[in-house]
Amino acid sequence: MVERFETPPPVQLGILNQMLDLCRANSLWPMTFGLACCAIEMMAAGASRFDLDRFGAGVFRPSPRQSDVMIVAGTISKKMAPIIVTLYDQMPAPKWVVAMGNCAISGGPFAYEGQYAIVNGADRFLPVDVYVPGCPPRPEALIQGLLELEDQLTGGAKRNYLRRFKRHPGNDQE
Amino acid sequence: MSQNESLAVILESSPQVTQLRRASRENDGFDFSLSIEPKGIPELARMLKDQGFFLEYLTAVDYGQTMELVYSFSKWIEPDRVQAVCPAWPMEAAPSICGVFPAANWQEREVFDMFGLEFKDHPDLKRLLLIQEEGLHPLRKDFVAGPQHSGDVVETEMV
Repeated sequence: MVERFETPPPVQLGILNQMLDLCRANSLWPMTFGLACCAIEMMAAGASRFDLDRFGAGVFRPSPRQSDVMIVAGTISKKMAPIIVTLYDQMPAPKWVVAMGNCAISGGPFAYEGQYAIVNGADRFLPVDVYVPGCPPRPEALIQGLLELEDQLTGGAKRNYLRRFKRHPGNDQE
Repeated sequence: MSQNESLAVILESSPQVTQLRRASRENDGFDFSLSIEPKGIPELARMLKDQGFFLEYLTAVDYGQTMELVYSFSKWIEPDRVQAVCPAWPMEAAPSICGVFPAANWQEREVFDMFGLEFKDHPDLKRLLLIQEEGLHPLRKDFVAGPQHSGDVVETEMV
């Protein structure tokens, strides 16, 4: 279980917390929020062919107040960075960040000396939980990233009882 | 008298137009190319708007010693395209044409952003795409991108 609160919540529910985490992991609500071409792959991941809804993460919310996950999908310009921070601050805790694509991880092709417009990576100003590499990553990669996030929440693949598919045998060990 | 001829007469009668050149649409992409003094730009824009033109784009060119503003006006009714070029630097700033074509608002802001050229009487002349940083006008010839630009400068407030 990954602790996401800066200060512990006043009411502790003991083992119910794990139950809550299980519920959270299987109903991650991402924010409708795309910055560049990675957003196209994010849309494809949410559409019927790949269908993020199979893992409970297909409910893209148009408001940060209703979202759990911020998928930073694309290039972050310096002009856009304060807006992203504002959106992150508006999300209610617990909240998670997925850096999707090379630009959001490290600046990608925009990371060179003399770059004056692009921030080299979302982790310069946000606590990133999962990195999904690729330029852009395929929808399967984003799904894998969100499953990884679910595993982080529940404390491992074995604890994630509600998983509706068989994992690859090699990945089953913790 | 064809549509083009009547337009040529109107353009020639404008006192601010210093040079008028008939161009070929096939080779140049526009029908008239004209040089104009900066203070005549709004009047030209208003006159072309009355003729049914719209602003296609507005940009600038840096030649090192001088800079020029380039306006392109076009219209759908008749195939017609007018390119207006006016000196912008180091001469006085050109007046804004936002009052005539509202579409010029953001384009003038972009020119201000990329070239540092100012426009007189612009309602809200601030940067469009880049952060507030002194001397950050990357499309100028004398702009050198160095390590001082690539720091983790993140604006703390939305502009």
